[in-house]
Amino acid sequence: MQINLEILNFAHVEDLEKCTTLNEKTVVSDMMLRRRLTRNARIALYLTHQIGDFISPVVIGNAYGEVVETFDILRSIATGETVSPTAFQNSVHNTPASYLSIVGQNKGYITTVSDLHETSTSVLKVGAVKSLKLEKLLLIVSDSIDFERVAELNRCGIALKECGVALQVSYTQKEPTMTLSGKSYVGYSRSIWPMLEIIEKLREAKSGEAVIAIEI
Amino acid sequence: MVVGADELSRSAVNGFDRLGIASHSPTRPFDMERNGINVAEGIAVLALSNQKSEACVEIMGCGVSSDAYNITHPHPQGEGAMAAMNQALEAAGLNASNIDYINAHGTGTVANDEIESASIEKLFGSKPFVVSTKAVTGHTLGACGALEAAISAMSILNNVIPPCTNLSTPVNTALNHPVDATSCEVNYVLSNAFGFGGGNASLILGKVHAD
Repeated sequence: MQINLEILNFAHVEDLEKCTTLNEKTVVSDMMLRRRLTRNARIALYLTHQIGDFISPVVIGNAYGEVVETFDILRSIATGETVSPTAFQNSVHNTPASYLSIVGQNKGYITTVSDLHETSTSVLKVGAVKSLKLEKLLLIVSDSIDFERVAELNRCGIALKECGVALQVSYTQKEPTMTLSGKSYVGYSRSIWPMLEIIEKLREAKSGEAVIAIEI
Repeated sequence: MVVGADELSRSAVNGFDRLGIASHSPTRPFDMERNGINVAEGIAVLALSNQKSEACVEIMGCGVSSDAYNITHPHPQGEGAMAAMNQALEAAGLNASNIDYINAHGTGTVANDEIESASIEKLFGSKPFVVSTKAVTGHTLGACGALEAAISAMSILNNVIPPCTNLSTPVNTALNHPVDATSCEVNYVLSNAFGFGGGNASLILGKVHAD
């Protein structure tokens, strides 16, 4: 089964270390809430703000989850310290989805997909199926591995510790205008490669309709 | 195949304990004396098919909503929970009165059980049986959605409602909490699964009748 998605808008952010242009003070006015945001939540909120759509349903994906908080919990257990309640509540894969809902007052469908290297592909597939019953939706994939002692554990060749891509899409019966070749983006998390290829093609095209076929 | 699985870990046990919602005694969902969850592990496998059979149950509909309220605490008026349950009813083409049994999320925490029971009463009244099987299984976290869908399916296939274990003084006396396992005709079951950060899902399963 093939489902065609029209890409209505997109946003992208990346950094070798930590993204410093996420504009948190504008995106999240509540200081207490802003202080508690995880890295993936900050990236997701920034991308959503760039697209300007806090209302549509969202499929959000990341391969590694909230590694800063997870590392904090594991260190506490290993050293016999008490686990931080904030770290625990922020450690689940669904954390960015929750903050998107709270900040944007989005009470609709927001779900999280995690499929390691296939995360982007799975987000595109889930989004394509959901698009059949929705006007439009956001597909977001991000990964942040900027945690303490990452250098000792990073065996995946990930040079960019933070990267995120968001697409605003809708179901269409128009013919596809782009196909993905499975291009490699060395230095980036594999979880995000298909999304990077999509935005590369969007930038090359510069204008006109952008339609991609998703095989289910 | 749909699989829900989670394994017991020190991070989960320590984390829930630090949030003050882990019970150190057997959990008592929907009881006035409830004091938290029992963190557990489990796995459930659901085999899906597009062929109807009386040996199977049918997925009638589901609903998904977000609380947009708090990273750990559910919406105090249960708006998200009720939205998910209403969406599931609409998707299934059913009325609240059609539901025979609600497999509640029923974690045994003060907040969830009070809000969920009030939401269920508001939408369904006193007719359906309401049970949290977490009193027996514990909270299997990432596995509980699939696990409780399997329990709901078994309820339909066997025409049995499981009992409310460890419940002596209900927080909401308007609800129909069975003390013992109850044999009766079970045609439709609604199963709730609510998550951290206000992610809510409700699933309705139905009996397949011979045409």
